[in-house]
Amino acid sequence: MPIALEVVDAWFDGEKNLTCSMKWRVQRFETRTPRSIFECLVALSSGIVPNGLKFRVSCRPQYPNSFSFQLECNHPVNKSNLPIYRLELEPLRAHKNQPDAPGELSGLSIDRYVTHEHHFRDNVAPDRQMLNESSDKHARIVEDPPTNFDGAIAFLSVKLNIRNLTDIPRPRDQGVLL
Amino acid sequence: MTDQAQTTTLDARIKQAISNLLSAEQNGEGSLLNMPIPYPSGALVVLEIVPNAGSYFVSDVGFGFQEAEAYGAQGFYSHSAKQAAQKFGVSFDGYSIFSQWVGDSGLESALVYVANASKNAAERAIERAIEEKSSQKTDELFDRVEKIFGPKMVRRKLEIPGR
Repeated sequence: MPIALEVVDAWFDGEKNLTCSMKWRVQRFETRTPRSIFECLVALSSGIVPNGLKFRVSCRPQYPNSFSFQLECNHPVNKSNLPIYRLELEPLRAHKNQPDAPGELSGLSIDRYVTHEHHFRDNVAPDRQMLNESSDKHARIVEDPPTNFDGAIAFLSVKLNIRNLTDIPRPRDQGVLL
Repeated sequence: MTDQAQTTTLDARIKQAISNLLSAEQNGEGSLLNMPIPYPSGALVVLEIVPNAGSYFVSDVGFGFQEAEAYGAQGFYSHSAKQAAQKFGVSFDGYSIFSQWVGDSGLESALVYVANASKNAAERAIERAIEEKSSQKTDELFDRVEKIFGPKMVRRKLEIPGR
């Protein structure tokens, strides 16, 4: 069964909590400096984690101002995830909206380092009230954006209504190869 | 506006578009280059180019992996990235897709093939994640239907004669 948008709305707007210990994980690779990941399941106020609802942050120590924050859930049928909301804080990658994006988002070009957000509501045609695989294709620029990790966490704790989001520590500058 | 003025304006706009799409930036010991190739999310491929003892190291900085991860397809990425690396003549280290010891005359080719391998690997991993459980669900449905109607009444595949 696909997930109805009104259900996702309830998850998005409702009060939530991270359910894990606040620890970053470091991935190391042969030819590159490592990257840091934070992943945690997110519970509704009832204590239920619906459809594997998860909050994820990733960053690279060599690019300390660029972060990707994502709220996502499991696809109800296959093994992919459905991004519900993603904040790209000063990203290294530029973004181009497709021409079929709605209204002012159509064809929007977002340069590298311009903080932007992918909201599931910007990615669903009015006649299709279900969350689908293309739930994050279109993005919009964040007005008055946060400019660092702490600012982004404060911004997201309000936007996503996750009560203990501010408990996530800053990633340490660990793992930069000398 | 005269035809010549229109042509000049169009020419200037196209040059600006190309410049916007292919912008490069010095970053530490190397450069980051935007490529006009979109991943499934609409983010553009970005490559890091680092001079390396008279040659270049060109890498996707692991963004293909990150793209797959955004859709829960990281478990499929290694397989698809190995295939893409082989197909496009580049390398994969478990995270980044790259080409190393690129000579001066081979830089443009390396940029094109590393970028396309990265996009291809991410796309394929995401496709496989989408296909995977779907086929599992199909198997489950077949098993249920077979239980209800019995094995003599149900076929997984059936050839239908005729045009």
